[in-house]
Amino acid sequence: MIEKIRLAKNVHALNDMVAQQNRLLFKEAGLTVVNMISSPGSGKTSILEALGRQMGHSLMVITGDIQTQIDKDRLEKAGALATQIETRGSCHLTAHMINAVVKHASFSGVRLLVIENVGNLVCPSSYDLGEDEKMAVLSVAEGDEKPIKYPSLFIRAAAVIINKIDLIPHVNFDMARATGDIQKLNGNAVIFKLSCATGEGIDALAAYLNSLKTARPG
Amino acid sequence: MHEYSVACEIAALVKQTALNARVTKITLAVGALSGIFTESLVMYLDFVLPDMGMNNALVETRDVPATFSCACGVEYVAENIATVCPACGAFTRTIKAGQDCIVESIEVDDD
Repeated sequence: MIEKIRLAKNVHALNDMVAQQNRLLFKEAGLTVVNMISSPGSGKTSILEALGRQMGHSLMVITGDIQTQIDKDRLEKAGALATQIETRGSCHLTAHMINAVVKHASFSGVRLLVIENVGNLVCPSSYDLGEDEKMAVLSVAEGDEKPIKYPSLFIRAAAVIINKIDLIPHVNFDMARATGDIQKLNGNAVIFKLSCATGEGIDALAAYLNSLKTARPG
Repeated sequence: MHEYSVACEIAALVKQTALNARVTKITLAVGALSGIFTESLVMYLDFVLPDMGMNNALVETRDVPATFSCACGVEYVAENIATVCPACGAFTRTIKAGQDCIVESIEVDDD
């Protein structure tokens, strides 16, 4: 006999269930968790190296790449704690991948956990990993039209970093257009202008991340 | 872009619901802003479902248009998230529908 079963479930329902488990685990450990998303080469790891030099082992990074341990090595050298996930082809991290890492991890002394997603401006924005907020990174060399062309990340990001601003004299980047489009897509997004080459903006970002921690109860 | 992963998620969700019953039909509602390309998703489901023991399950899809609600009170359908309100020209709006991809229902033969 044919029976119809109504599900009405989001296709990411199983991912979201594990993301919720991760969220509980993070809350118990007293962590602030940021899911950092951008295209490849926007400077995510360089930004995290700069934060690692300031924060040491109070910063933990779970970094996702298709392959290699390059980012883990860079982040550890900068002073942060780091774990590498090699997705072997998958273009985004899932809540299950994060759960496999964090369920047995020790967070002693860690205040901030950044999940550095696989470089990709599209897919990672659809997957909840259990983070407190998503942070988008856009480098000026990518072009000022990226937010409006790839809106799915920018409408979900609580903060947007515009990186490599030291390159502005050398590339065709209209800052007013980029920030205007970001604000149009997401009026609540906090925007940071940053250069890892000169260090400009790093302190403001660090202060923001620190304020996330103090804003949270418990 | 990530339709293969989504196809795997759908197959796992359906399998969890149907258990050992034979799945005959899966109905999906694909939102215009979900970032999922329907034809590509169906193609991957054709590979993924048999791998999980769900042969001959018919996949039916329904397109859900992107619906916006503007602060001026007008509700409108648009293809693009960057579209302004046709009534007042403002960009301040809430997305009402079309962001998600939903498994609406399945049909199983439990004989």
